[in-house]
Amino acid sequence: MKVYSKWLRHYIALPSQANTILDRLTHAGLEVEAVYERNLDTTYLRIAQIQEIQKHPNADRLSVCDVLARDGKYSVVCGAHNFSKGDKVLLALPGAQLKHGLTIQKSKIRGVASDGMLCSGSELGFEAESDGILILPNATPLTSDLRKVLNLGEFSFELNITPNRPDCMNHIGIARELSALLKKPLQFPKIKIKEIQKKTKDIFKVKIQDPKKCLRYMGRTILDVKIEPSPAWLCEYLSAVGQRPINNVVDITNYVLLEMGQPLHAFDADKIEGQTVIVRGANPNETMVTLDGQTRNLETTDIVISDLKKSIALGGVMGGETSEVSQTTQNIFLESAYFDPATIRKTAKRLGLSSESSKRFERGVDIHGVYVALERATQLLIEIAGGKVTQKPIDVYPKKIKSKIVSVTQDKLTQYLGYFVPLSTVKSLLLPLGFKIIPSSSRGQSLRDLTVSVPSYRVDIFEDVDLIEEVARLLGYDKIPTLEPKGTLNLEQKIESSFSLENKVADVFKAQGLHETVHLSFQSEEDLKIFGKEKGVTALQNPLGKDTALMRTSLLPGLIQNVKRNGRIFEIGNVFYAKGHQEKWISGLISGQKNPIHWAVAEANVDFFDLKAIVQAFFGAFLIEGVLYQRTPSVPGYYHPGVSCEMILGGKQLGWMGKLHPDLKTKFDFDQDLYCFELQFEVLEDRLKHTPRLKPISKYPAVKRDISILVPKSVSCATIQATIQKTAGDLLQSLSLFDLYEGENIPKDAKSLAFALTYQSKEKTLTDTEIQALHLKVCEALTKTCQAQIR
Amino acid sequence: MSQSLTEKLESLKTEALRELSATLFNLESLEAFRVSYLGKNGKLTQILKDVGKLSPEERPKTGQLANQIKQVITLEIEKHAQTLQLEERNKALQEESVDVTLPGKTMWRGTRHPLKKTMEEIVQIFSNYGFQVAQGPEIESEYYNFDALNTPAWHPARDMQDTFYTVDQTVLRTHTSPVQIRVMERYKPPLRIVAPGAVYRHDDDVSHSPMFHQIEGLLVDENVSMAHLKGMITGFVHQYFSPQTHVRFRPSFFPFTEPSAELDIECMMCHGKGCNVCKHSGWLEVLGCGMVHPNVFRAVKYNAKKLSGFAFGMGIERLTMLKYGVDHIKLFFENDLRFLRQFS
Repeated sequence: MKVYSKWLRHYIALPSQANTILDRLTHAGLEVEAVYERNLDTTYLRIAQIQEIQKHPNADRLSVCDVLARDGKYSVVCGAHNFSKGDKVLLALPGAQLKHGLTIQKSKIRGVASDGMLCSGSELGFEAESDGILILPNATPLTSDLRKVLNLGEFSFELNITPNRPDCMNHIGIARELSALLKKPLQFPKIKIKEIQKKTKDIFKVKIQDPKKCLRYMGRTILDVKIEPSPAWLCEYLSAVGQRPINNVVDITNYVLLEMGQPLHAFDADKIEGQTVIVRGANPNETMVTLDGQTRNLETTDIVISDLKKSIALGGVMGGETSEVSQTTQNIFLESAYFDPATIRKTAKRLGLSSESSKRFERGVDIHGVYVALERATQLLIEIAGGKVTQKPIDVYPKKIKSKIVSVTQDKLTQYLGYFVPLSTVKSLLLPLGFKIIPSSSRGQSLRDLTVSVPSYRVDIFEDVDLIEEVARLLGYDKIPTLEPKGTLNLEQKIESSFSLENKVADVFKAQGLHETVHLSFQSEEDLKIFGKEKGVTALQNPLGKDTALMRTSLLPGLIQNVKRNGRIFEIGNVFYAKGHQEKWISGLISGQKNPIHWAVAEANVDFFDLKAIVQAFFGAFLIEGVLYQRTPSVPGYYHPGVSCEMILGGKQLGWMGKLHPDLKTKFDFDQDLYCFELQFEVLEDRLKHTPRLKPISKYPAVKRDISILVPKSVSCATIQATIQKTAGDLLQSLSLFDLYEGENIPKDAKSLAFALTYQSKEKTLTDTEIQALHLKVCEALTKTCQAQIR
Repeated sequence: MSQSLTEKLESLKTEALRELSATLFNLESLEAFRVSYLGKNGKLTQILKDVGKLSPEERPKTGQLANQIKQVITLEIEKHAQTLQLEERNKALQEESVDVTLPGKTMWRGTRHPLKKTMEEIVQIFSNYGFQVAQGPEIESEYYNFDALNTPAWHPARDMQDTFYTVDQTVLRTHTSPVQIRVMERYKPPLRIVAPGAVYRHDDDVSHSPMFHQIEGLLVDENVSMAHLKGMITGFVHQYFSPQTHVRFRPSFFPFTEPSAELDIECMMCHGKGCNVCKHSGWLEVLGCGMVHPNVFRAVKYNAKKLSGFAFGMGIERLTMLKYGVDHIKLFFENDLRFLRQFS
């Protein structure tokens, strides 16, 4: 919402310093987002009249203008096109200092000399952006005082009005806030209307069909108006807040909207058939052409204003073409209404039609202001457009809205604010905002509670905390003390979360030389085809684009995008299946060099066992034992079927790891192999939280024995290890594979493995005989179970 | 005999010692020297062959002298040997030296993502105040994301957050605030929780990412005041940025808090003087907060009369950007190694 200081001065005396009031507004919750101070040295500025416009000989988009100023003729090159011969404009001569460090110099533009520059509002610092140069009222004499013409000393500012404060979306609303903040009286415009004998109700009828959608509808007929351009002051005010003047009638409705916050609509009364206005829901399949020339398909939830034959406006959102005020309009029907906020919002949202009117209706206008604004606009129409107004407005107001009554106690106020503010102070704070004090029956000197009636424009006040906020913001949040919270920690109530575990897991992968990444949780249809699971997918109704239309079902698409330049990355994040079902996964990718380049280390690329090393180091860090690695058909198809496995933990599928399928390598255009792992966090979670119990350390000597075997290639290492472990039982303290050989000197379908075994007892020193017997048993078991030849 | 045996021995000693000090030995020649004097056929042995010719009175005296001389020479030889050994060892050590400026063998060095680091750091600060971590789903019902947070359908406050809708009529949560509701539905007051996580807004431009991260905080107890809210948030800012950071609270609006506040910190780039980063205001908006709206308590069936509390929400990206001087939100999701490495 843009506010103009000169406009504000109609309602309140402002201090000369802009900053003082702007700071107060920000600290009262009305954030000032930008300030445009009209502050210029006028020495090198002139009012000039355009005398001739010629095309620039060397540039299509430029023109060369001859202008006349009080001290002579000038020739200026100009890039704007919003002016014509005879217009009064502002000329900046060499030496002029404008906003953003712009200094005017005599110059040649594309080979044509320019004596200066025709200025736009933004170049003067009056607004953020301008649509062409500034056009002054035509009646402005060339010799006028520029400080007056440009309203120097005034300022405008942009306010960020939060959605709870529609009452501040107008100048009187802001003045009211300032009145409370600066403790200065608010001057409300005096409204006096001279009506003619003819009665409005005799010439116009209004019917509300659905009083839930339209709570109040008022109207007035103004006869014999003359449609003209608005007077200079009205144009100035509207322009200062970024509104383009149109004609006197439309400008007046806009002026009152920006003055009081009540949207009004002026119809050409002669285009309303049967002199009847009906407020109704749209009919099924109804369409209408709105003021902007667009045909709108309506739904039955929309509010339509119609006459006896046709629709004339889309209630609260935009007028219709059929009843538009035009140059030939003589008689006006002026509408001022209160439409149901949610209904307006639905229509505006659906049609993408957010207008100054709909923004205010959907937040809630002042139901009492419906009347005041109608009278104010009527008064201005008489004054400016020379209309005659018929007697008494029409007012259809089926169910009168009562004022809200709200109380606050001294105790609650003190407790909430954290410091004592007497209710007597609260009274004096609330009165200027229009709250009325309801006298209480309680006697005694100090007030225990305060009851107020809420003004009709304050749609945000319902209960005591809302009043407390008024007190807090009017006094300033800096008055509130700063205290450390006290009270119960309630630590016996443990709230479940995996947050700290995730951090621990990430630290382990970091230690393995992987970079943690965060990717957006979206994926494309293409990604789904490759990485989708049978659990389905959640699609977005309003995605940003095709590539981000689905929620990710795997972390891999994001990681694969990135691995080209990073080599070793991982992510811990959520993936989503059908119906928004969410799962947390830990996934990582490695590719490229096994080790960083080094003069003493041979270069080699990563392989499956580098990948497995990372995964096993992770299990090791959390003392997770018993993970089974299985090559099964259930490994997803994006893995290489021979160099991948499923991981099982405690009978549950934990995830997969392996080489990415060669087809995908080609598809994603990688020259190197990619190895990835995927672990489901929830399956691991209990094990990650597991607290280990200390096992006694044996004080008896350990004995090492090696075993070297030849087995068929089809026998897995896991089978051999399991056989050894099962046979040796508790006495086997450690088991490591230290050699694997396939190739020459052994049969083609066989492989040779060598294990180092450590035997140790917790209870005694093992004798040679005992060890020998045990070792023999292990060898026998291997021969039997694994078709092993002991070498 | 022109010389007595004693004289011969004495001169042998003198000769040996002179030779020892005058000659440059190595370990080998030193051994040869030893043998030449003290060996089986050495000079000393040769002299002692004549002991038998001495009178019985002279014999022990001469024998004693011979032993003495042997000891002296042996000792000198050993001294020499030690020096030589030390030299040899030093030489060997010299030969084994390496160029210590050659690069050491390197391991891959991993990193944590800056957003995750910031989340961890912030959670740590709040856990010092007894806050526990809570989490919730990223795909939420409209009820948890809006309605229960006092933002009914068709309320204009919904415009404050552009929302992604799924085909199932659920939403990608627009803030971490729904976790407040989920926690209060499940747990009893008093409560102190923080909820970190990803959130989504239908917004994608230079300064917005459609996914970003927040941390929500909630404290519910009896007699909680705005003063406590100010104390808690100020304490957090002082710990996360620096104890010298100036803060200001200004009124704002969130449907689920009343009163609501926005926290600004003094711009760290210009120290409040005004610069491009703070849009010449001298202040940077850091987080939103406020007293829990009674309607939120009502939605979770908490006693709105008896309880009060405060809630706050902050953007992890923004806090990380301010702390480390990151000027572009998209950098966090590009995961460029040259970016990530700078946070390790």
